[in-house]
Amino acid sequence: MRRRLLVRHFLNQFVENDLAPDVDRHQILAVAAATLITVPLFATIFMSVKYLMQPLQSPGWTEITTMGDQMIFCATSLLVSAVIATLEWDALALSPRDSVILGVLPLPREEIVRAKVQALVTFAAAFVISLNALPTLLHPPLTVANFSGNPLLLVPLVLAHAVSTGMAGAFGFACVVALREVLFLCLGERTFSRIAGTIRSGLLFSFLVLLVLAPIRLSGPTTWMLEPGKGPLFLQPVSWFVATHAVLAGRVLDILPTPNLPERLSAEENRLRTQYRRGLPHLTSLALRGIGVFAVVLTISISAYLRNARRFHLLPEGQDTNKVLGVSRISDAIASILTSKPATRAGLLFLIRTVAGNPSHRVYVTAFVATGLALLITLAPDALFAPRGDRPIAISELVAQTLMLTAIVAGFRAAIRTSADTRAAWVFGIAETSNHGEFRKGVRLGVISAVVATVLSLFPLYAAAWGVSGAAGHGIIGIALGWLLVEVGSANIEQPLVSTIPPSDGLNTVGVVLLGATVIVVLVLGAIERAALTTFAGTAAFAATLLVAAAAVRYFGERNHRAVAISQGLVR
Amino acid sequence: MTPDSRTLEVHHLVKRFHGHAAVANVSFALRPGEILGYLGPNGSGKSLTLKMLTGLIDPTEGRITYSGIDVTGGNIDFRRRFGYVPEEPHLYPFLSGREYLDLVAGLRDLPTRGMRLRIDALLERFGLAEAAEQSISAYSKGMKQKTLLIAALMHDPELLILDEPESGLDVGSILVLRHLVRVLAERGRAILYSSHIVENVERLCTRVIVLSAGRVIVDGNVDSIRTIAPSGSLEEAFATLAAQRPDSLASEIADIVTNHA
Repeated sequence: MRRRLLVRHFLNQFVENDLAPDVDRHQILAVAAATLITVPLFATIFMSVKYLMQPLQSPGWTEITTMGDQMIFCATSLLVSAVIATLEWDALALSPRDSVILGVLPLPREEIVRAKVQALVTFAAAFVISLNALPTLLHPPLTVANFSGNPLLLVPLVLAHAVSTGMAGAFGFACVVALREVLFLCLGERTFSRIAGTIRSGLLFSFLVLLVLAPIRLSGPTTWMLEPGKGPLFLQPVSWFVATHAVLAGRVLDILPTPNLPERLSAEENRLRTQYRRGLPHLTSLALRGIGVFAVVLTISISAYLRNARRFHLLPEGQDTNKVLGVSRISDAIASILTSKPATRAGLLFLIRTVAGNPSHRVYVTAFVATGLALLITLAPDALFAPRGDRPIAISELVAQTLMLTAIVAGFRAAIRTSADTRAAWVFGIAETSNHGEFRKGVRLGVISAVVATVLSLFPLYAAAWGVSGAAGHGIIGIALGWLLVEVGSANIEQPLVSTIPPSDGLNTVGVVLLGATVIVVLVLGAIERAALTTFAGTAAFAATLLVAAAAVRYFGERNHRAVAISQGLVR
Repeated sequence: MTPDSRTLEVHHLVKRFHGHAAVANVSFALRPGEILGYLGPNGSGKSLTLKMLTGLIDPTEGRITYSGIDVTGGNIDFRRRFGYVPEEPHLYPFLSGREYLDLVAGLRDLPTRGMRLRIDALLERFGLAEAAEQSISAYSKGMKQKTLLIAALMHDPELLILDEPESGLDVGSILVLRHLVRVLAERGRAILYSSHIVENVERLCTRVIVLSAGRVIVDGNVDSIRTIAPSGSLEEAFATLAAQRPDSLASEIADIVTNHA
């Protein structure tokens, strides 16, 4: 009874995550649950079309093609589970709050720890199962829909899908738990709590970039898995679970009937079949390696977890696990360079420290920036990884920077629309008197600084690809465009970070329309920019137009804010 | 444990962090019916001592006994016998006040039916009945403190450990708390009352321990401590003992605030 109560309580903690703002926590949960069902469903159907549209589907082709699909399923399962584990970072182990509340109750420590572990395993299993349930039930039948045969053969195929994606998800989750617990064990409570925020942000950023990249970068052939020593290193963990599927499902696919194929297709089928059969021993060794590594990670995470849970951990007063290292010093330095006005400086410092210190704000910015970076890598791979001087400029490369800047501004917009703390916002409103304009300017300055820093960091890459003059033009236009985006993004935000009224519309309601409009506008801007970059005058004219537009948006935005302030009697 | 021997004894308690003693050689005893004031300036080691008593932190040295049984580092039977109000309002913000109290009652294995009535009655008396279904994240500091007090009282503990319990409470609630502590003591409960509000300690406690830099500098009754200050005020005596000079410190702060140069 008591154990069940504790487990239920700990499960609640996973759902009632501190990252979701109080005001729209249940809306966020509903959207997350809907996404968890609909995205895998659409992805599965989309990936299955190629089987349904194959009139002469053969076993060898199916064996090789399902490996590619499985690569995406396993990578997504692994990364999404790792992202969720990172988002639940604080709830993974007993928190100082749990220690203070539960530690004084007549409960044996072991009972609390057992309940926590049970809740953790239940949550991870429930999440991994929900994520993979629909693809597991739909993908195997759709891949073999063209074959006639015993329907019972579907059972091992479904099982193979469930085992491989389930193991990948559990592995992703366990890796984050293992990392957290090993760091806690090695560094000690004090050092760990000092660096936990930085590590968590870094992990979240990396996982999100990889997650956005996964469907694009993994859609290629996966035959490298059939030969030892081939394939990119970072795909090795995913390949273990894909190999598990191939070993379990391959034997079933291998006995499916081969249709009467034309000579050319028959030869290709024989080649694929032979390649697959030859690769089976290597796939088996990859699968065994996966099981071995998974067992090791599980053992490490369980041992470290139980060792850390031997005593209650109370956070020393005033110590915050959510801080990112060195933010105060860096933000002070940036503020000293950019402004001397106290209210502007206050706005700038508040933005930097809120985004660095407040988990929900940090997640907004991290998620958008990670998406932007993934889009940049996808759209401008040559500029980033294979620069060749003075070659023609592709629109996709121009669009890459624009999308990156849009993502940054969108992330900051989501953050500044959300109050750092609703209660503190009331106090802030009293302290801030009527200097809203300067405060807003400071916040905008922070976002513009992020835009400029991004453009400057991309400049060397573009310079290596197109030469200095082309890159400089693109950089100037990027800064002007970024400035315009910042003005547009913050125009209707009266009190950034300190609004006491939660935002009424969310990305979930207007997101699809916005996304479509953004794609069209970005493509049009890319075409105009390519034309403008051909001459110096064109570049200057385009940048100047963007700056004038930014100034106009600022003027009208501030005029509206002033009208509101006058109507409220804040200014005369 | 027999009812007549319910004495909490603290023997030479020490807690060191990186070689520095945050609590050094603290010893005292607390008997049923007694209200022991635990005074000291910020950072003197009051809360740390209480955390060691509740088993949240293990002492580096020393021993804690209750009814003669060693309870150092926590003991399940001992935890059934005390109620604890921590200094910080540690509560789960996603639960409502009633959900939190139900959780604590359930984990204490208290009988569901009678406990529901008791919780309702306590919520009513503490003025939280209307807010009982609201999320704790929406509670004021005083409401959180009242929730903690109900959680500490609902199992009728023999020993009540209160760490600055008046924090965030309004004047009326402080008065209720003061009377409640006194009534509970009269009914044989032992109370350890840590506070920085000297007036509360002065009015309530039968005995006072003053802590400074982790050490007990005085352990005696309120009247004997008053004699330390020429004015006979406990507040001044406390300042003298804690080596504080409030008047000169206040002047220095005012200088900083008013000096615009």
